[in-house]
Amino acid sequence: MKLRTSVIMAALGIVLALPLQAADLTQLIADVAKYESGQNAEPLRKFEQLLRDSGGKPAQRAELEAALIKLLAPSATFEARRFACQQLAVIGTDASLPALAELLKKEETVGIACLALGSQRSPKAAETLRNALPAARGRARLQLISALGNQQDKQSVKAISELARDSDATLASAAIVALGKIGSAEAHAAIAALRKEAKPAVAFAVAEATLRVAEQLAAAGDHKAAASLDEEMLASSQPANIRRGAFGALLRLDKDGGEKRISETLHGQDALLKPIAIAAVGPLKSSGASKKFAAELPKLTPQQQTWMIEALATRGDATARGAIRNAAGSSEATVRSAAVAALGRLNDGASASLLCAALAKAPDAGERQEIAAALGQLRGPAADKAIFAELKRASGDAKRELIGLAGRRGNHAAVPALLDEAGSDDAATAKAVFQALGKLAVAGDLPVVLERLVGLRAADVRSDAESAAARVMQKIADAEQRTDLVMARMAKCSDIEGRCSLLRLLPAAGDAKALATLKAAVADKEPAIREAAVRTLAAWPDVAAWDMLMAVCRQPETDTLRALALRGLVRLAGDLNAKPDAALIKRYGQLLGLARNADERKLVLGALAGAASPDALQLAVAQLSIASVRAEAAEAVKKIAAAIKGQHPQAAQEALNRLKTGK
Amino acid sequence: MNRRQFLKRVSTALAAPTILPASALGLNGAVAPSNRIVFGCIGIGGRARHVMPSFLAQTDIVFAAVSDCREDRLKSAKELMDTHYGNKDCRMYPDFQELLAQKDIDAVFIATGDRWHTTASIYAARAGKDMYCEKPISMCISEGRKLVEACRHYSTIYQAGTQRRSTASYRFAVEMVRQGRIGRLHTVEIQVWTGPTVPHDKPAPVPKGWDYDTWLGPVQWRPFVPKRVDGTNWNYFWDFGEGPIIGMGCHYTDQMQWVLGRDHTGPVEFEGECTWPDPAKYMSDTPVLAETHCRYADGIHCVMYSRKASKDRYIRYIGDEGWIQVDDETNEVTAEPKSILNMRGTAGISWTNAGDHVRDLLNSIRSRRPTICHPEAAHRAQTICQAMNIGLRLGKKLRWDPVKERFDCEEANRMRHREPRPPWLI
Repeated sequence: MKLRTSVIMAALGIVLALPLQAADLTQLIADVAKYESGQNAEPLRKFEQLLRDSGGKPAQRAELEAALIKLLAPSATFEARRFACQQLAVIGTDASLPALAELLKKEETVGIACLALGSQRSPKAAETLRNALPAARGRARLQLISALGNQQDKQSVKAISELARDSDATLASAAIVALGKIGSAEAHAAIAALRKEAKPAVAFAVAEATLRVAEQLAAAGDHKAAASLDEEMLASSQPANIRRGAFGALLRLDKDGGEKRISETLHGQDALLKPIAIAAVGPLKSSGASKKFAAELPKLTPQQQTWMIEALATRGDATARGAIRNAAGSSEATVRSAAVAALGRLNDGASASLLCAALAKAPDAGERQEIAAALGQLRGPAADKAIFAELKRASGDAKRELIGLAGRRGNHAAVPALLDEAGSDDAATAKAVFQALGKLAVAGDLPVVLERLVGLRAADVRSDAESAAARVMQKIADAEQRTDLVMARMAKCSDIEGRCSLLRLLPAAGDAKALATLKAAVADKEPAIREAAVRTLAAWPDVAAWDMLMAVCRQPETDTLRALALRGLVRLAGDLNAKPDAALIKRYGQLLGLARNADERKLVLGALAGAASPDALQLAVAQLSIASVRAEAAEAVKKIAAAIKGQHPQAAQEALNRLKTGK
Repeated sequence: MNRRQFLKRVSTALAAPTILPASALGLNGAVAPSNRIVFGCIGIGGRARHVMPSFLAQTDIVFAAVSDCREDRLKSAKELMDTHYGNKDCRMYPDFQELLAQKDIDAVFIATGDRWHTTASIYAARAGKDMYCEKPISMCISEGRKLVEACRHYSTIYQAGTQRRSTASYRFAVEMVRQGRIGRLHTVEIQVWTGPTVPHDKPAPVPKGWDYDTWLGPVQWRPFVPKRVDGTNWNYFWDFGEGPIIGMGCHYTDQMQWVLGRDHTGPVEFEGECTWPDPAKYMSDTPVLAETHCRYADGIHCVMYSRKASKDRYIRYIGDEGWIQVDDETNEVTAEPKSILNMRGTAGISWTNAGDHVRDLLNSIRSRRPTICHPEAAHRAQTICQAMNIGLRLGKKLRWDPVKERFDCEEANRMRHREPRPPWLI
């Protein structure tokens, strides 16, 4: 147990009871006795703690029970008595029964008394409840009947049987339900008599009790008597839920598990029971059940077929699987859908080829997705093999579903098949391939992935292909190795777009060699290469690119490249905000110095606002005098001042004063 | 149990029905009124309004009636329905029994306060309605067992509102564990949030338009105290709720039971520690901070923390070769090894959309096969949280027999039951 209770309690200021001396108990009881909602609840909680601590200490427990009994006196508040009953429900003994019997005499306290007595299972507790019944009226009587029913008190059957014939249907129904719970032979006889009387006002309660009696008889081994009662409750005159319940009970009683009854129901006309019969096919133990009910499939409506497919899937044996595979080729879309879902759920490897073929023929995206989902649930190499084979054969949407599926299945064996498809002219297919490759390809695959990247044929795929390659690079621990692999491919690449793609991968390598390559590329003779290099530098993950970006900013080839470099610099400065040292302030100073216009200055101020230091604050304050960025400078001042006011209250306040005064 | 045995056991125990899309039932187009499932809503406060869009998005159902014991909520619920359907047809019933008596209503969505969940569900089952009921599904273990019995007696289709079984992120995590991607699962780590506290408040007159007697329902009478019943405050009183361990914890224990394929059983041992609200300041009486453990017979261990903020809640499955975690606030799945995440198809909808969960219920209402969160599964998941709480209240380690549903401690056994207040007898 790792909870440091004492520490936590101290932290919360929680006051729990220390062990009390016996002399304190009198005072504690006096305090509890006065309790009303709204008052300090310490006495209640202290008492509960004493009860917890007294476990296994009979003498102490008896003393506490005696205290609780005192709390049942009329002089205690209702809430105090309720509290006492709640505790007696857990620890009460026969000693508390006389005091609880007094509470049973009053309508306002009979409930809390039953709260205490309802959990006690001693004969005397039941006797106390029973003795209170004759004098009780109204809700009190209902309360006692309920408690006696829950206690399964056989000795109260006679009294409760009389109440079961009361003209008040609520009272009579409660009594009948209680008789059903008691479950003795005498109670069974009473319920049988009530069944014969067939009073409409209590018919449902009698039916409920009868179902319960049938269950009790079945549990006692008298299946014949139980079935007889359930058959009676199956009559068409009974409410639908009683009939369904009785039918379910009969299925459980049948020696063949209900197989014959299910068959008869399927061939009969009782629409209410047919779905239950079909649902009951699943748990049947008979080895021939799958064959028998699979044969029923063609005779059922499409909706019933979907239910039967689910039931057969629950069975899951070879015959059931075969029937479901057949159903996957149904002309009814609803049946196909249910069969496909079932095959997936069953992890039916033998259906992989069938599902792949179905995927190729699927009429719409919804059905394709359902089949792909089912294929995704199939595990094992046989399923992979079928999927990879179909991936090669399929075309269009089906191929793309299979490519995505291959990625999700996580089996590296799919990589060769995916690499074969990477050169597809179809952009959607190629994109799906690279997304899957990003997941599956490993370090050893990187040269081939790079090969496919530079050899791209489909338009609009480059970004996905670069993301996939970068993701594979992340799986190589050694940065130098990552760079070397990219550089090796670059050395052989004459295609401008391909070289640009490889340059864009260099931040995923992230080492000095990669940075040096970018530096060289900034001066390349090809404009596209130069732009790609600057864009990549602007995305470099750390401040190592600072000087190169500064150089681009100071002597830009174009305004676009300058803007890119400046944005990269601002991002890098912002990334350093967590440590706003002199070097960072110097960098911000450089950036403000570089800014040519208000927009660029605003960009820098936006990042500067995140640097929590007095020096950063000074830089921001200095910008307040520039009218075109005053609003942004003011925001930066407020943000920095708020961040540093704890450590530098004076500097923060002075800056805020400058804002107010405008000086 | 070795890894192979573990995988074999869960794979044979997985009886999760497939969530068939509406299209599989031929419901992707307009649905004839005669083929629609007619719903009523019982209890329409904040939670119902949160989940309601997931119902209203279904084309094959219609909400015909609403019920709430608060007049203001009842009226605004009717407005909500009438606005959605563009008519004035939604019927209002202050008494939910009147709603249940309506012959045209096939099913109900129960989103009352926790104290009502089991009772309303059993009354609905008696009335022949199928249902979706919010969690926690019961206030005590005996209530949960009675709910299971009632649904069995009437063949009721019941969906517990532990909708994460139908949520893509959670299904993915469960599937990865079942496939053995983290090796042999040995620990499930769960975090709900720090239990809130409610300051003292005095009894006050019941506001107009509020049927407090019905609001209390099966809870033995207590005076009306505004701060005890306000908003979600009632969650933090033993009478009405049991705090985040019960209210949120059941989502996670439900996932744990599901991943292990143990919907018909449960752990065998519970132990925990907690802190309680400072009684000088607060009247609420549910744990504030807690660390509670349970253990299955085969040694699989679960720890549930009640700590930190609500946004920090998560479930993590830990195996001998890795782990996978779902962060509930963000719906983000994380894992080690990270390659597990490559298996994920799409991000999918988060738990905030219960559409697939509702769809599963609707499919079951037609086919009469059990829902994905059927009563037994829901009861067993809830029992874990209730047993944890009983252990905390008694301050002792407990052994539990999941077959007999009994503790090794008489006091704990007594805490399995709460005698309901009439006339709400189940």
